[in-house]
Amino acid sequence: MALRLRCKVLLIGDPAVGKTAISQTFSHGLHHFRKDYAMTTGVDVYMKPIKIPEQPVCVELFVLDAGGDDYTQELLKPHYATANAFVFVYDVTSLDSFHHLRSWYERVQAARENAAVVGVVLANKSDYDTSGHNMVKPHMGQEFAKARGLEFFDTSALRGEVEVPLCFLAEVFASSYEERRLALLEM
Amino acid sequence: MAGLKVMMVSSMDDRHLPQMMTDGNERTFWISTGMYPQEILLELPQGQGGAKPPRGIQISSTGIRVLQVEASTGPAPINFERLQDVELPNRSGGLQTETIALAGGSWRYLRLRVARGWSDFCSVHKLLLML
Amino acid sequence: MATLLKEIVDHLNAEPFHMNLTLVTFDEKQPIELLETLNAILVHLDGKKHEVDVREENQDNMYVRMAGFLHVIGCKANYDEEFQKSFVAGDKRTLYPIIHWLLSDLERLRKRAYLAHYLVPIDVPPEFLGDEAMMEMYQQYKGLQAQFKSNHQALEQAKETSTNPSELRKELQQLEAEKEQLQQKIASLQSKTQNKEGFDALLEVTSSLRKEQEEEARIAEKIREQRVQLEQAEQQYMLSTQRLAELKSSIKDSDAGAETMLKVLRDEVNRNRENLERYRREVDEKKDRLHTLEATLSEPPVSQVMIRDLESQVAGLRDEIQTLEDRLEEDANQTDDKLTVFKQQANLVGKKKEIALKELKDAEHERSELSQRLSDREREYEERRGHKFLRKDEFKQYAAELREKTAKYKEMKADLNEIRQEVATLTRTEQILQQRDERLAKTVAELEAKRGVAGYQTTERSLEEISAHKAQVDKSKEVQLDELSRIVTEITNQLKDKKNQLAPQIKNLREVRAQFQELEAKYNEKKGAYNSVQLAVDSDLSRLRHEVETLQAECDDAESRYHQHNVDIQTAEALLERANKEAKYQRGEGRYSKEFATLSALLTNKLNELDLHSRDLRKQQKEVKENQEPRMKQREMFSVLQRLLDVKLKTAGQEAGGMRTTGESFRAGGGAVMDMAGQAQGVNRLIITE
Repeated sequence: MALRLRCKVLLIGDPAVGKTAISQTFSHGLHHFRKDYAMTTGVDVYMKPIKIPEQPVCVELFVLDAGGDDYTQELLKPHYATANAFVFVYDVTSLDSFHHLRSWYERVQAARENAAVVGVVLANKSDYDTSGHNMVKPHMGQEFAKARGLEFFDTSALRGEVEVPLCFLAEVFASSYEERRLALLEM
Repeated sequence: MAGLKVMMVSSMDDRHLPQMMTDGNERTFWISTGMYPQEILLELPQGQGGAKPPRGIQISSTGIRVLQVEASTGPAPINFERLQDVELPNRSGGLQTETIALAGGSWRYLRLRVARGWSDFCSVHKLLLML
Repeated sequence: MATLLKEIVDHLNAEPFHMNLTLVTFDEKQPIELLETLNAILVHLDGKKHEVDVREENQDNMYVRMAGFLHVIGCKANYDEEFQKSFVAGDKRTLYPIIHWLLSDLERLRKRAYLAHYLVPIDVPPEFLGDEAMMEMYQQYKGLQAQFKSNHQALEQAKETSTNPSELRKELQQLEAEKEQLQQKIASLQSKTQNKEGFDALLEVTSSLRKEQEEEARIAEKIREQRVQLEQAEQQYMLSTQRLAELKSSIKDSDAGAETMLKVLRDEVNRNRENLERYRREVDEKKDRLHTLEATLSEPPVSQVMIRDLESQVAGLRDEIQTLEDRLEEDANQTDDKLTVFKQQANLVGKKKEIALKELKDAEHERSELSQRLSDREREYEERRGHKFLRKDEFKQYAAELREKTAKYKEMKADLNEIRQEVATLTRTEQILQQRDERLAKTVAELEAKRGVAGYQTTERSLEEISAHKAQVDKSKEVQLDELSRIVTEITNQLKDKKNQLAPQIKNLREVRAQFQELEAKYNEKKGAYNSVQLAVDSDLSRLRHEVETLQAECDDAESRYHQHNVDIQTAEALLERANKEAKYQRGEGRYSKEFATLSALLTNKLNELDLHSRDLRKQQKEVKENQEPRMKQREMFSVLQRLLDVKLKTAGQEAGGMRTTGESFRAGGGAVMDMAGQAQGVNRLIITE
């Protein structure tokens, strides 16, 4: 019987950057990707077990998705402190969405007091051409992530590329659990 | 620990069984596997023939921040009453020890609910009944 | 057997039997006499019980009595029926070893017999022990036996340790004799000194001299002692002065004073330590010695005997010394008195001895002369008679020998004559026989010739030879056959033996096989049962395992659901809080934000905005829908145009050989198709109309 770890992941970012698409694609696969946009008004929770390769460990990722508006984010706020990992999402076609990421990060950090913010930065809609002006260049996202100790990923919910960063988070979580366990054993 | 019985925990690693909280050994422990809240449901020993009910319970733990203590008189583990909420200090590298008074009656079940933690995972090393 | 017999006879002739037997008389004893002898020995060993006349006793009773006794005192024999028969019959082979065994250790056996009389347990059947009186008696008997045992042991010990009264008496006698001797000595001394003048004065003077001598010796001893003391004192003084000098010099050396002093002191300490060590060792050695002495002291029983032995030894040695001294003194006394007499006697004897020696010499001389003469005479005789001179007895012997020899000679001569006669007759017979043989041979040859079987005789002879040979061969064959048959019988015997040996084993094997089959059947049965049980258990187990797995999965799901629900609860709580806040804002207590009083206001606003937006979008959609067809057509036309232009471009390239300059200018302007329409270069003209 595999060990079950549970990790709460919050999707953070401006409205319409593709958070819901990411969580839905992740939990149900590509064919569930919805092309029509429906605004998230409450908090959606998607759970998906991730098997850690070569270990009898399974990480259940509880992905929480709330709308990007203030009045919907309000519902996600109680989870800021207790979340185990964060996914900061911006839209490569929207400079604003990228610039807003900074204030999103600061809000999360403030809610967590001294607890570290573990997570990844997703440059979504990377299936779009970013050569034009008014587009977010990949190096910008990379620099933002690096400065905050986050990992950077290019994704396209459309192309079903959301699995990689979330599996990464699961693996990080599993190794952090093992680390803690061993530390306690040696105490 | 004689009499104290763990009935349920909200998560479990096979290598850290719930009984390790009540074996009187601080080196063995139960550890949560992620997310809060976490719950530990305990059955208290029933005093036979005028034996005094326990005065309290002492907890040795790590990573617990907010602990909610609830109790029920039974006979089924339902209808819990909130006894107290405790905020434990963060003690990195050492054990948190907290004593919880069990005032007011002959409780049969005790629910320890870790509402928030200082860390992603919390552990309980020892549960000691205070007679 | 002979040595056994001899030993028996020796024992019987010695204490306490005195039977005055010889080997022959003992060996010739009748069985009943032998039994009597045995009985006599038994009487000696055990008395009372065996004082019976063996000749009149019932044989069975006798056997029971004797064999019982022999068994009790530990005679090794198998007391079976055969033994009984030969014993009662007085068989020598049975009785001799018993008699020998009894005699070889008479004393020990006597003691054993004595003990056996009291200690052989009475065999009481257990059913009688149930009776109380009987039990009591038995217990009493046991107690008495134990008491006897302890008493006997005490007696033995007392016998061993206490001195024999006869020995003491002997010692007493010895001491008395000694005393007598001493008294005699004193008396003799007194008698010797009585008649000498001024003996008392002399005695006095000598005794005072002796005292003075002793005093002198003592004083000398004292002087020596004091000298030693003086030497010691001087040595000590020297050491002290040396030390003082050392100390002084060390003090003088002001720079290294303390150090040297310290060093000196340290050395001293070390020396003292060594001394201490040595003393400790000595003390330990002394302690060890003390321990050994104490140990020796704490062994009183051994030491008593030893001391007694040693004392008697010492006394014996002392006696010996005394007697030797006495003799010495006696000798001295005698010489004092009779020396002159002896001297005279000795002189006389010496003279006599001289004379005797002279006489001896003369006699010897005479003898040698006589022997010389004798030999002369003998030689003379020899010359005269030609053979050795014979003395009378020699001659007598010679004559006897001669007589014997002549008798023998005559006898032999007669024999010879007889033999000669016989030889003559025999030769004669031989001759006759030969003649006859020749004749017969001739007749046979003739007959053979007559009947045509010439050479029959030779053949017959060879046949005879062959048959003799065959007989020989047959004999050896017979021997071999005998051997063979012997071997065969041996083998068959062995075979039989082995078969006999094997028979019980085979029987056993059969039994074991049966047992094995039984067990196997049982085993199979059990195994079947086991298998069925195992199957049941296995299916049970797998069912349970499956159940456990499903339950575990359920549990895990429940756990996941629990956490999901918690998330939901938190969300719901947040929603509830928002609703509560909203209610407050609705009642006018506070504002949602700067812009909006309540969330619903914000949402309405947002709704309106979105509404507008959607209306806009719908308009756009409508426009798009309306214009889609003509625009699609236009797009199609444009793409057709592009294809057309591409073809033109191609052909222009082919014509480039003839109109290079135009080609050049065409290529320069090839970037923008739309320009071409306006500028109308070359022969190509494009008009676009809507």
